[in-house]
Amino acid sequence: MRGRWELEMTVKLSRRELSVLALAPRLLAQEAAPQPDHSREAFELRRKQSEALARREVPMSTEPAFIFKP
Amino acid sequence: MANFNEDVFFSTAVELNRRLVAKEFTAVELARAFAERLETSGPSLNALALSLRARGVNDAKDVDDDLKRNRLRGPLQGVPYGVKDLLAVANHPTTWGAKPYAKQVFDYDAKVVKKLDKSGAVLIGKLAMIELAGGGGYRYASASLTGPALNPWDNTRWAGGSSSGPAAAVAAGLVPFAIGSETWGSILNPCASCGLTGLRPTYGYVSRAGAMALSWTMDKLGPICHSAEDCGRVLQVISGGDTDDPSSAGKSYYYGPQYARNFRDLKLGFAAVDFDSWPEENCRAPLREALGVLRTILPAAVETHLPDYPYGAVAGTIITAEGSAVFEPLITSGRIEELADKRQIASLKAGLEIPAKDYLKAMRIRSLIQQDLRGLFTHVDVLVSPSTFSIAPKITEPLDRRRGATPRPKDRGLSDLGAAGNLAGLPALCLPCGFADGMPVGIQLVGRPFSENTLLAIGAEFQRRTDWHRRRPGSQK
Repeated sequence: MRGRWELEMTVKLSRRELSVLALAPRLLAQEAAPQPDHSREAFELRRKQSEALARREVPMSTEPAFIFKP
Repeated sequence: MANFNEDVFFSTAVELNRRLVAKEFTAVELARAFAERLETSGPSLNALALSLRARGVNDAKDVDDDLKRNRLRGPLQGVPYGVKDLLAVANHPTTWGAKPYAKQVFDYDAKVVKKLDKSGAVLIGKLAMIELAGGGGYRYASASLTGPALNPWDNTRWAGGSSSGPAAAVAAGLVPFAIGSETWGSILNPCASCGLTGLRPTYGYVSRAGAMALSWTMDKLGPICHSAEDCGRVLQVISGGDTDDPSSAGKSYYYGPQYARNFRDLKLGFAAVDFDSWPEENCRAPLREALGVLRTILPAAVETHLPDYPYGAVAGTIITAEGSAVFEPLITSGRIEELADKRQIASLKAGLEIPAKDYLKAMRIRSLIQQDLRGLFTHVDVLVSPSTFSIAPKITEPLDRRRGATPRPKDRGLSDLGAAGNLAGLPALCLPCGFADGMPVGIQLVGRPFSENTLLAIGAEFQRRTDWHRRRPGSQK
């Protein structure tokens, strides 16, 4: 009787499967692409627009472009 | 049952009405044929929100009775049409293109629908749109309950927006004309993208009673058609004073391009940089050619520039502040999270934080813009510029990345005409004027308030000298 079991196994892998196995660690380590922070973007746009409006001087006599009708 | 060939589906409203009056076919036959086409092909373009075939065929029967008795109501009688799904049609869902309103039903018709019914036009469908007309700004063409509307000229590209369904449906020959809306670009953009003729009327010309509000001081309803003449005929029906619309100008419009001034007496304002440098490279040749044709119609042409203002900041602040106020209940309830586009969600939420000082400052600058544009129109009668600076984007492309030439030209020319024209409530006519890489391109003519007959007369002459408005998807190669 043998002192140890020996197991021979032959596995056939395609080249595609081999490449996936080779890249697997890198793929798993890759983080998902960061999603844009829509809220921050929206407030940033509002801030820029507010600044653009502030830069524009307007004569004191200029009324807003709406007319109140009683 | 009449056997319609493909030409019928790409005829103008006026042509179809003539053939109805001549009894070549009946209104019922025509309504059924278009409704069948709309129901079959509309969903594959994501253009159809709701078929109204039963309503349409029923109305078409009344039209046939009238026609038998020679009771003629005008050039839209018996012509099928569709409306952007922000217009109420009694007892049918009006979704505003948005999931939170998917089951919304009104028990009344929008004023525009009532007027078109009275003219004998036959409503056969509600057409898809960008959710809430895109007021918060949106990143992707999929910002819609019905998904991204596909461009009939190239199904991998967007139909434009926010009147996406109306443009896709007219361009694909599913309806002869449609009613869209524009706050900032939503008629002109899809018309340019789909090779159509569209009219943004003067603010206040067309009642908005029964239409979703996005921006009270900037929303306009207008026709999307195959020709300038059709735009004029539709505007005549839908325009007019309305005490149910506080923004109504109280004026009626009569289509009479023959009464427009002699073209030799009109001065055309343009900026060469708009045609040479602002558009992407592939668009420049057809746009320049279109400008050349216009300059033969209006020989007195002058280089013109818009006065210097922060148009984007002004328009963006006003639309977002007003839109966020309109949809405040949606935002505070949290149901805004059901919208499809994350950028729009964030923007409308942020819009509730716009301080009064910014909104009022924007509205005061707007007064100055209006005043300066009045001054500009003492030197010119019509302004011309490309409707867009690039062809329709692919449906997966982000829409808020800058389109047009890179780097941006320093000379702004008339490139802010979209914002300026909408801020000042000016009318604009989009005309298809050629192709770039197989996709339509368009130009816009902008005039003084209530100068639609001048714009339409020029547009009709342009369409007599060219045939871009006659092309149909598949014919551009």
